[in-house]
Amino acid sequence: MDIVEVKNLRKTYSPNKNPVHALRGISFSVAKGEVFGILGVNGAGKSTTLNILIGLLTPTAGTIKILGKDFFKNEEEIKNRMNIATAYADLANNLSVYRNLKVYALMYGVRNYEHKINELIEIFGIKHLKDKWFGDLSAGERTRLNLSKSLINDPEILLLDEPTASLDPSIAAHIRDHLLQLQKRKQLTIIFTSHNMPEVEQMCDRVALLHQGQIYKIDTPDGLAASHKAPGLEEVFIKLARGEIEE
Amino acid sequence: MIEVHRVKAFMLRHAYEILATFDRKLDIIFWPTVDLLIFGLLSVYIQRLNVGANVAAAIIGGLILWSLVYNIQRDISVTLLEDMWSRNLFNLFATPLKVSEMLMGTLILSLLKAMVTISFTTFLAWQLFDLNLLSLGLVLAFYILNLFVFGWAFGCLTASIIFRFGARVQIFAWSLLAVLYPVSGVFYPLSTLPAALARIAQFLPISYVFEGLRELILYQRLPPSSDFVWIVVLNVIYLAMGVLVFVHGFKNAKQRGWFIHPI
Repeated sequence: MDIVEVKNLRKTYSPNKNPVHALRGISFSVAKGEVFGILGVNGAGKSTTLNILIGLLTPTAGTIKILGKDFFKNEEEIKNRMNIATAYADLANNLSVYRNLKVYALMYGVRNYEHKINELIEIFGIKHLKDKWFGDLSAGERTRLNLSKSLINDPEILLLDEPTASLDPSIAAHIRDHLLQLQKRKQLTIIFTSHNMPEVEQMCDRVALLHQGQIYKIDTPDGLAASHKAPGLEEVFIKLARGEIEE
Repeated sequence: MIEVHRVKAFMLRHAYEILATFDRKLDIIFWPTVDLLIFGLLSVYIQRLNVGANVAAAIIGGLILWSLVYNIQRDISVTLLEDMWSRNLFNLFATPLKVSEMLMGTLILSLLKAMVTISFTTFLAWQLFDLNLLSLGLVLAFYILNLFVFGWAFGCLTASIIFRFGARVQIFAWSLLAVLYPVSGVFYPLSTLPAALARIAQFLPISYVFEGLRELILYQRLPPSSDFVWIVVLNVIYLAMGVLVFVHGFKNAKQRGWFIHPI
């Protein structure tokens, strides 16, 4: 069953004066429990897609159905069942780890938030930072707190925008394992962007290759590599970025 | 429908900010006290120059009420700026938080803070300068309520300017209301204003508030009842305009992706 259905999504910035076409009509669907990757060079439209899916950006055209409902007519209800972690946003600088998570737990109406917060900071290895201000955390610690925040409401759909960008390889591996466990145990649907190709190959069931605001191809990581006679996704990505693949 | 738990969460986020930061605490008690001392002592000095009526009390009363409206409008934009500076707006609006809930949380928090400030400064004015504003009774309550409403309306306007122009105009958060300072008649009667400025003052509900306050303190008489009606009518118009501009600014910001890169 498709849990996310995107049809002909377009986003044009300053449509009347010097228009910038960030998305030129993309369509895709994601099944329940699937890990779906969106890959592309900087400016391809990956983050724009995720930002529209979480309701932070209004598209110029197109339809989005999430959990079987029109996203724009049921935004509040749907957003309650989703969450996002991104490398491009922070939490409140002058609030401690615990207080930040408490605010977000209340925002989603989480019951027994105390237990949930303790569970998450344990999983992400930031329990010892509970009373430390967000502004005093390292980049890696902030990322782990952001990820904790993204799971505070037990989302059914999780959007991850380069979630492991500032993590060391061992912590990144631990977090990937945890996310995959969650995905299997709770049928969590993940939509994922990353520039780390081995990570995408490990995590994603299918990948959409985005180029200049359009979807070039959607396939499994192995399928994409095989159809381009490449040893892995990285080579496909480089060929697409250099314009060596005919669109 | 407004969800109380989200309004509460939004208020809690900013209440924690006040608890955590020294300068936000100063805004509530310290700076209003400094203002009161400076203007209060100056007023006492003026009074000693054998001025007939109780000018000192009128000036101190005007100052306390002006601080109220100024703090409320500033709080609304500073609340927005705090999340902008923290790069927290993205995560905040990725939640189901609605603009109406954000606005409601901001208004209630500004109300609570202003109540602390006005209670403290009123007490201080009574102790230091023998001015008991509470003796003005229900009229004072009416004036305070209307100053809140005007402060909210103006705060919404300031916030919508920040939505549109971002950090480049953050100085407006503090200074925009100051444009109305000279024409509001905080310390002097509206009859002293040049004709052009007096015409502008006619359309400001706060100018009727300060004029009325002076009447009460200096001459112990109520202003004409038409003034009370004007205050309410103008405030309803300003608040409706403020909320409309705020909601429009919010929608426009979402179209431009401002919550993602709020600069």
